[in-house]
Amino acid sequence: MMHARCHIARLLSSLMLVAVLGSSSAWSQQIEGRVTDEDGLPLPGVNVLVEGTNLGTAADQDGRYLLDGLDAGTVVLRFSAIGFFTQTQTVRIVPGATTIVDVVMAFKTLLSDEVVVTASRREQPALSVPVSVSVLSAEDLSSRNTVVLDEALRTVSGVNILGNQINVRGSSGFAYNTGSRVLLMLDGMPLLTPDSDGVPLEALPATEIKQIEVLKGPGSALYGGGALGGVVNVITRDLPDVRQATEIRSFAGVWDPVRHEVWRNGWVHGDEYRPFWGVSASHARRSSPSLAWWTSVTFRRDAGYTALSGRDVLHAFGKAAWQPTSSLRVETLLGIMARQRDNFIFWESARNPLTPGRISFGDTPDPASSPNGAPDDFVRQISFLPVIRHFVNASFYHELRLRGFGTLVQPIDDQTGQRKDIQEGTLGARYGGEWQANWIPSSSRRVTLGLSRDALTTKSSFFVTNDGDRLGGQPEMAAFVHGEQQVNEEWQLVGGLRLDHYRIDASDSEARVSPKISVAWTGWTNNTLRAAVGDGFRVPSFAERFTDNREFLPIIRNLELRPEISRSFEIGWRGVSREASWGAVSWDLSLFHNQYERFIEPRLVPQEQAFQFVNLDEATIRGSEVMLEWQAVRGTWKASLGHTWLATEENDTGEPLPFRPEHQIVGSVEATVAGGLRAGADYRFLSEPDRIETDFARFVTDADQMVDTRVLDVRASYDHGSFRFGVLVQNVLEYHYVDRPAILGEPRRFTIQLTWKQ
Amino acid sequence: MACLFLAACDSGLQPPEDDGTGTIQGTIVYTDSWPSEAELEDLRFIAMRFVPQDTTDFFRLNEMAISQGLPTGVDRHEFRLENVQAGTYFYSGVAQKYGPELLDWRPVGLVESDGGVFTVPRGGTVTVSVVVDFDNPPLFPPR
Repeated sequence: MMHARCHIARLLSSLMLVAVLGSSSAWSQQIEGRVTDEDGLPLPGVNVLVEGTNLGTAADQDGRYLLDGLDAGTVVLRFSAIGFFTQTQTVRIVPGATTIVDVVMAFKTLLSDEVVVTASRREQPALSVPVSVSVLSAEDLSSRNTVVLDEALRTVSGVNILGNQINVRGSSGFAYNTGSRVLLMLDGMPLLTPDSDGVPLEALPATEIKQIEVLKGPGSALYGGGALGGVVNVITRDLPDVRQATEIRSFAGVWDPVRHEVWRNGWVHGDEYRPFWGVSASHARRSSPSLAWWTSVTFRRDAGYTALSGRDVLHAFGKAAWQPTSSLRVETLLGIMARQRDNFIFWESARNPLTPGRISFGDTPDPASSPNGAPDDFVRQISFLPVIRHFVNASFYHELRLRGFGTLVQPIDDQTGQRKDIQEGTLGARYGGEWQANWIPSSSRRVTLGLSRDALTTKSSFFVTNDGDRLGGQPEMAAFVHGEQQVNEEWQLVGGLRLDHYRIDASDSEARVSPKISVAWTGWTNNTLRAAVGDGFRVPSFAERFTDNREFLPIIRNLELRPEISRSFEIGWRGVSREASWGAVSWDLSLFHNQYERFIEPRLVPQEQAFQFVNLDEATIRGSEVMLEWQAVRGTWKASLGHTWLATEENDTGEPLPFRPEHQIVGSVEATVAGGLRAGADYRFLSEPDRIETDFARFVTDADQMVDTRVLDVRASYDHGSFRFGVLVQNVLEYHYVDRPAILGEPRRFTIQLTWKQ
Repeated sequence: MACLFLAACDSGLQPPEDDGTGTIQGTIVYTDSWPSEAELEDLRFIAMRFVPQDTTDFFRLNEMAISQGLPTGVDRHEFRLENVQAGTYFYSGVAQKYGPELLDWRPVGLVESDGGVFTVPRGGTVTVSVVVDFDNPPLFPPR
């Protein structure tokens, strides 16, 4: 609860700081200086606060700061930054003069400093949360030249990406991108599209991210049905304290031709290095004490490493915050994306994996006239996420969060290259909002409650619905409450309850209460033991229920498809060692057991001669996860290792669930050399799934071919002034694997990156 | 972890050693009269690597070789199917699409020699013959 108080205090301080800055012209004294690390390098972003006041600022890119409008006298300055010991300096301010205060900050390990917001919808130290959470920082993304977020998420223990679908701890297998059990959120707002329930990861602003939090295990009690298997919360960067900041990031590279000559011979460009490049520009500005914003534009072109897999993506994001009074704050996030792509769906065969296959279905058995595995499309998406936050007093604030998403998909005619009519594509909108109240009745108690509602309207040649609603199909309503009680200094109790109501169609609806309770014990310093039990609930996505199309694969709708439910148990131990001369180690150990009923999976239905999403009776996913992280003193060396073990079972047949690797291992090591030079490596291993669904192979040659995934990436970067130069080689060992059935995984590629910041 | 790094050196997925295809060629002889145009939406030579049990097996497309549409109204036709997956085929012949529905197919003549079973050699050619009698089609599913 102390953290909650700190959070509120920090929030109020920020608000008052804005007010103070707005009226500071009456004062005339200044303090300025430069903040550096022990190597003499400037430290941007260090918070500088005048103790006992709400006056503060942050150091700029050169580590310089300026505090203006101070009263003469003696003040205590506090300098703080993640990764460094906080310092205080007593300063005597001479009337009418500028006082110089330069500070050298001492390193400390980062391991105990992570702060997360996803576990309980508020900021709290990752060390003490009663659930499994992994965090990727902006630095993690930058050092890996993350252009598309799936590249970064693949380095997270327990996370596997199949196409655009995020799987956490085996929650999903291969579901043709139609429905996910992991909720993707942007700044705490669910990103749900009107068609397939998922915003493409490549549509998110990778350069504007502060951190990504991965909540493992069911999050339904807090976030609703989409969070049955976990939550990925992408948190965009804070609005600037400094007057303005600009960043331009560019990258270029090539795909290496694949190793095997037979594969190269199957495609006319198989022997060529295939280029990709991109550029993004962002600008942040504080226009006035009450108004700040950032905007970013990114363009990316990729020729693709197979035939018909190229794409052009343009997206723009903007975020603005306006604070007209100290108790009211309005934030808006707006994003647009346009993408033209060849969508490689399946290969010709394992002997010719660089060329899309061509299949026919019964009534059109002429291969020359049949659809191929690479339909082109042009996609436009818009996301609009405004938030209004009202601080009533120090113990109560509430917020209204609205969300709107629009999608337009136009197929492209393979012969003419022209976009087809919208009637042959998809046009949809999803909209909703939620109200959330945060109440802190005492220092040991905190309550969050809220209401939410969403609906969608979609017209698509792929979906056949019998929904009687002209507007507002598949509406969802929910009420949730979440409470935290610090029982004593050692025990924390967290409970949540969420009531979801979904109208599946005009004549059918379902409601479900999802409770969750967890307990954390922090009796040992820097250690948390946790246990949690909770229910989950997921309504099938619009695509899972209503897709009815034989153009590329025979898929038929299933109006009888029911929501799936789960009950999950988890125990875990998270801790950080004492700091020693060799640094410090953190660990997170988990055991989990998830029992599903009416589990939704795709199956071939023989009597229909097509795939269909069906409810299985019961399924079990259980396993363990071990995450270790080591960091040397001053952070010059870092290493991490994660292992996830899964045992899955389709209970009525006793077989494993398909496309779930039993073992996943991720590891990374990074060294920082004096002078701004850094180097690192990331390794990813996924064992070949115990079970591969062979029905797909009836239609696509060799679609049952799977192997282990073993990918090693290496990277290096050099910082000099405002510039950063980076080199990245992904899949450096040129290991060939199957990304998802009948799609060759990414071969080796080389990337150079240049970033300029001011 | 070093062991795992080194383990990646086995390069993973490999292309199958050869393309594993061959050629089916043959002669189709038509006896008796042809059906009306309304009953002849399509006509193909189809070779199956299995013995079908019902019409739903027509969807085991990856285990079949299917010709282009065959000419109609002729007494005899020579055909050639290249790049056919090598291996043993158990049930093959000429199939007629007699109606508009997806599964409105029936066999009208089968490969009879050697019990209808033949093997397509890798890189080689097998020759078969089929006699089609639209008025006396073989039983389906086969006994």
